[in-house]
Amino acid sequence: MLDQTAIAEPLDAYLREVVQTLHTAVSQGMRRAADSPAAATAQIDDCAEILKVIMAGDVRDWLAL
Amino acid sequence: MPGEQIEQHDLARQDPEYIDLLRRVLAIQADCEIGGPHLYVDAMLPAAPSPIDQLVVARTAAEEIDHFRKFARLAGDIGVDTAYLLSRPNQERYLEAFRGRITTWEDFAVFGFLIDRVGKYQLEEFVSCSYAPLSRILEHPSRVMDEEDGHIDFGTTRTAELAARGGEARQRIQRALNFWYTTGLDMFGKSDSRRAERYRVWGLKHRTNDEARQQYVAEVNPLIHAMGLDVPDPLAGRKYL
Repeated sequence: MLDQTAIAEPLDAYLREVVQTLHTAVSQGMRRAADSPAAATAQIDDCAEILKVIMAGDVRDWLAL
Repeated sequence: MPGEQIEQHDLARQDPEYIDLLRRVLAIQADCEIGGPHLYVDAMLPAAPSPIDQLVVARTAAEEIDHFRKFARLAGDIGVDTAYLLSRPNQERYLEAFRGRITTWEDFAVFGFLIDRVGKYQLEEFVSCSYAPLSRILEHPSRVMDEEDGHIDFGTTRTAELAARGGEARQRIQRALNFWYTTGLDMFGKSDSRRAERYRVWGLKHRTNDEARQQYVAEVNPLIHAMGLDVPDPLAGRKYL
């Protein structure tokens, strides 16, 4: 009953990587937008693409279960 | 158990009620963390008023996803699978605040101002709580707390800016405020909640629902006044008194 679930570690690792990737895209976008707002379009698109996957929540697909 | 902290390896020896409450509170917290992005990402990421604001939406979502990860891991470590929360329909979220969709910038701003602030009150309950792994996430310096502060600051600043524009902009932000103020007060739960009392008995929370709600009101009402907005009737439309 109190044993760790099978996906606790792989889900943690997957989301950790996703969050890091999002932060990298946001940081790059912020730097570009400081010079020219339109220059951050690619980073915003990257964030949108990543977040679309996360919001879909298909954990079995993410972790290839 | 006053003052006592329990590590994960000692959990199996605890009272079943304590284990049940811990499992429940971790699942609810994970649900609330991922519930935020599900409210606003779809509509606000493309529609935020500037590229910088779009990136702030993405960063906010990333931080909430990371908070979910941390609480989901705590839950998973004690046998509670919360992965289903990642694809749960909004209408099925534990708290009503997360059951709709945010489609306007005014709502996104006020959500940060008021609802993320309620979230911080909830997280404060876990500081020095009886389950050590949970307490450690919130102990100072806590990245989770710092990030929640950032969401609150952003929402507060944007709400104040929109209110300061006056005219229709002020009316729109007041409408959003009226909705989320009521929602926020209800998030604290019933003042006479038996379950909330059991959380306190087991050291998983410190304040009663009513104490936390009153402290929140004392904090936000002056901020609302200072923005030149009207403080909504605290009883209008309430479901949990």
